[in-house]
Amino acid sequence: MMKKWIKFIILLITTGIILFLCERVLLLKSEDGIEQIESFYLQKENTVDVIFMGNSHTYCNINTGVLWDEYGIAGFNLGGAEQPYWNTYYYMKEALKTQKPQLIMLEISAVGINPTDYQPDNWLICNTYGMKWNANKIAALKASVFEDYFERMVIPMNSIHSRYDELTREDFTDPNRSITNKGFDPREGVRAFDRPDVSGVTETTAISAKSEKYLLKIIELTKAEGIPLVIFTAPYVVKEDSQKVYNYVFEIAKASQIPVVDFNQQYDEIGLDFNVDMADDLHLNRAGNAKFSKYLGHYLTEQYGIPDRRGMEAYVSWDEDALNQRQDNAAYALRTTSDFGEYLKQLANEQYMSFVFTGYNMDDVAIDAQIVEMMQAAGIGASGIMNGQSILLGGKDIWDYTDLEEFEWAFEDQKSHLVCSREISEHKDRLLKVFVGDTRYDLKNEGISILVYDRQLDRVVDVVNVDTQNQYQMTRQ
Amino acid sequence: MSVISLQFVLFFLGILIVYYLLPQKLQWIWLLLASGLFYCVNATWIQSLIFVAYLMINWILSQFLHPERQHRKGVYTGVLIFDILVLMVFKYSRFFYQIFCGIGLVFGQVWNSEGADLFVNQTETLAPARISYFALIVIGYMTDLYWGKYVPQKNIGKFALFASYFPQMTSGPIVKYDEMQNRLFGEVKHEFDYNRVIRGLQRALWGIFKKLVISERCAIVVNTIYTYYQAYNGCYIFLAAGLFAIQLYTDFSGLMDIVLGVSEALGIELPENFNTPFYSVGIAEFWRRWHITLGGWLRDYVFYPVLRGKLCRDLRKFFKKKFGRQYEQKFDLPTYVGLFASWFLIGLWHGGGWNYIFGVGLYMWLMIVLSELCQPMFKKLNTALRIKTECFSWKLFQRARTFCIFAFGLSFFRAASLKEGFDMWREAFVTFNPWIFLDQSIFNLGLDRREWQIFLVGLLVLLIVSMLQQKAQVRDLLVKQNFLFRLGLFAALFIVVIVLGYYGTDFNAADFIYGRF
Amino acid sequence: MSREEIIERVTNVFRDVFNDDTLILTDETTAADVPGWDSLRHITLMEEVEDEMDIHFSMLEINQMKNVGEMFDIIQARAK
Repeated sequence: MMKKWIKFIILLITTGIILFLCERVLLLKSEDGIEQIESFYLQKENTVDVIFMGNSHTYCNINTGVLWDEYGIAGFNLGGAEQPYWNTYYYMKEALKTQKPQLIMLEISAVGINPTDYQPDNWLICNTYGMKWNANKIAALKASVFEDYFERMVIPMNSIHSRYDELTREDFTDPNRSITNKGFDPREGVRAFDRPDVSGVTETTAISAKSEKYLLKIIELTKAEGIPLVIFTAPYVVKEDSQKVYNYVFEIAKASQIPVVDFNQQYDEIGLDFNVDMADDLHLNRAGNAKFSKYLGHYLTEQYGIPDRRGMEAYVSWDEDALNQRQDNAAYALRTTSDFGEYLKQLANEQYMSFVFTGYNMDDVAIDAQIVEMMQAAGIGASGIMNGQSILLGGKDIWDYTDLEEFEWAFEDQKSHLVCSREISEHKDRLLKVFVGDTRYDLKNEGISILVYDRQLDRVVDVVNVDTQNQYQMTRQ
Repeated sequence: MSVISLQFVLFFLGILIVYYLLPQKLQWIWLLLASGLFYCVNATWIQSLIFVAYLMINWILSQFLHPERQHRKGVYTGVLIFDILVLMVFKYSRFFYQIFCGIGLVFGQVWNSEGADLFVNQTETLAPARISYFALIVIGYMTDLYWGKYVPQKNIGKFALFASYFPQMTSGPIVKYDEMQNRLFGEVKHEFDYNRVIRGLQRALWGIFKKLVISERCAIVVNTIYTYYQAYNGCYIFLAAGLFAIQLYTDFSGLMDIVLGVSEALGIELPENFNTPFYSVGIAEFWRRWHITLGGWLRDYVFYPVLRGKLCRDLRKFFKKKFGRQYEQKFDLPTYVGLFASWFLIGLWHGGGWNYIFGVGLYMWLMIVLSELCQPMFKKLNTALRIKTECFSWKLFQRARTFCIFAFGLSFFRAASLKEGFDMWREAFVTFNPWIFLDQSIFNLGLDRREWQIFLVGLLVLLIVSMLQQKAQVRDLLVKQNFLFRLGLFAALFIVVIVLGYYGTDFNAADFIYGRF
Repeated sequence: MSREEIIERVTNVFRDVFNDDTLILTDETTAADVPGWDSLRHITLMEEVEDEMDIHFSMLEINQMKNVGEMFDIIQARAK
């Protein structure tokens, strides 16, 4: 009889494990709300000093790496896609279970951009499905959906199981769900806009009753927990109508003695140039978010005395995050460089392992002496410059091989496993391959081929081919 | 609440737990409450009230059918008229109205009226859910009483439970009182038996697999072809017909697995409705293996009584006088008449539409009669052509033939009307396009390559399990295996159902790409 | 009427209806044992037996007969 009960319990446990694992794998690994909160749960207790909450105007604009590098501020972007106030409220409730930050900064533009009382499925999933299964999650779902829709949405399988045909390695390894992820997800690209001017806008437009209700709940929650709250709007190409809505929210904040910062009135102080700092009309690009984050960091240390946590053991994950952000910016710079000389200089990055191959056809046309000099300065070994291959680690040559015949070279450490090889096919074609893990990159065997692998980010950040017979023009794979 | 939903799972688990905590005497009351709740959740207030009233009236009248009562024939006639009338009014008003107006048009008259339209709409709205099933159950019960098979149930609660027992209130099976009374509130004990509960739940999971993984996928392609049959003509029509047969089988028999499994977990056996029908070698046999309880009901309450009725007896006497006993083997007219009545009603029962009456009614009748008539001829043909009839290849041929005959008739069941059914089949022969099976066309019907693969593998699994089932009950075989193996099998099936089942919304990463916000 | 006579006469009817002169009936014989004896033939068969033995079965009896032996019992009880 006892055996039966044991079997039954094992059955229940198995069912639970299956449901848990399936949900974990099938859940969309979205950087717009899900990974933020999942990574937040992994933060060490009471280490986050500033939590930035709201929509993408926080987590796309506030570079936690810059905050850390410049000021040692332990910040976290806990936001989600177009996140309405009710979802922010429940995210906040979850956050305050394990953290007691010095400050919460709430970005309020969700009510000025696409305001709605019920988000479409895809966004509300981003804002709820990452939460742990508890009363807050159920409440958040209830608040997010129409009543008769609740049943459907409260069973995640209904929405996510159909992803089985698009599962990738990342769905299983979930690399972005980690303690080193501080929620920052930058935009890139450059678009020019006319600089907006809402300094003269004083009218207010009311927000929906639902939004107002939850805004007040948020304010009440921070007061009850004794956490200072600041309400702000991040800089973007703001419209007058939106500004009126923000004014309304600012008034509610002031009425509750909550400080308000309107960064849309401080473009000059931030140093924003709407011709170069915008990725699109809503988000700053890399250059823009660096400026804004630096300004914000200064504001936080001056106004609120947010402490400098650099060097403290419990905050090591912020070191990692900052490094990741620096490398991410470097990768962006690298792959947008079109001048070979500039490109070579960047290969000196400590985290880069660069594979440089020079095609065998080179005896006909030699490389310019000037270029040779630059290549040598970049650390490329002799064979890398003349009919061979050279491998650089952090800008220093660690291996070069001048023979034009077949070879194979491998590298393995904790994080990465790399192999590069040259194979000569039946048709006497020379096939250059680089394997990063099990992903293969085939490189051109003419001109100069360079593959750059970032060891910190554990990914290939650029693959280029330089046409030595045509002014060293760079083409990317 | 659909039987495949979290709500039902929770509902059923709640029922189950309380059921086994109650003393056996009270279990049937609990089931009655559960059945009542189940019915009310799936129907409007008015529908539920009508159902309750229907049951009460029938119960009251049934008391007068006690063998020792007088005027039983009169009472029975009254009950029969009442029950049939209720069924006709709620289910077939529109059908009769259409025929009525159609006849009028023949005479150049317009017999439509607003009042009649209103009436027809109202009856459709008010029709109590599942009336097609419980009407048959009740009529069968009354008829059995009239024939003196048993005495009427004195307890109105027990009678109500028999007629509304919740597992049978989705799509049957159509139960008989003498089968069910012992199991529901009689001598059969319902002690908690862990193995039996697990067996029942295993069967239910298997049913969910059939429905979600196989049936729902077929439906996608079938719907596409049926909606645009002028574009998807030729071989597509054949594909649709074949797939629809599979769809309906996995849907209906899957549902039966869930229903019977759930009931088994409660310790109450329900009659089977399917017995691997596609193994049948002839169309007559097929209908003894498909929707068994419906066929049984028609046989017992229509076919046999018709054959015992005056018309058929007179026919038989007439033929016997003229041709002697041997005629029956050649041309059994009374049987064909009886069959005609039965099949007409089977068709009509499926729906008030000529496509039903034809496709799963008179067409099937025709096929059965033809197969009977042609039997001697086929036998001679086989001998002449020296065809071996005891081998697998012949059986395979017979099964394929049966499948085709069935699928053709069934295709009308799915069509919007009889005319559309025939239009579709005309389209099937207007073009000959076998390349659609080779040139990836079939991947444009709503299921891509991977979905087709899942479907085919699912079908293969179903086939293998069916073959195993011929030898022994699969669940009995499972019990003999090691626990870990069974656990692994369960895990695999469960994962397949929740991941590969075709349900919910169809999201993929592209929908989440955060463009502007 | 003796049981043997009943059995003999009924067996003849069966042999006629199913065109099988080798058919033997025992008390335990059921429809499953006789090829061709299905629901389509059942009533026909019953009526032939009725004609031969000059009796009438009720619907209930036809429904409830489990095997040939029970049929013999009914005939024995009722036959003149």
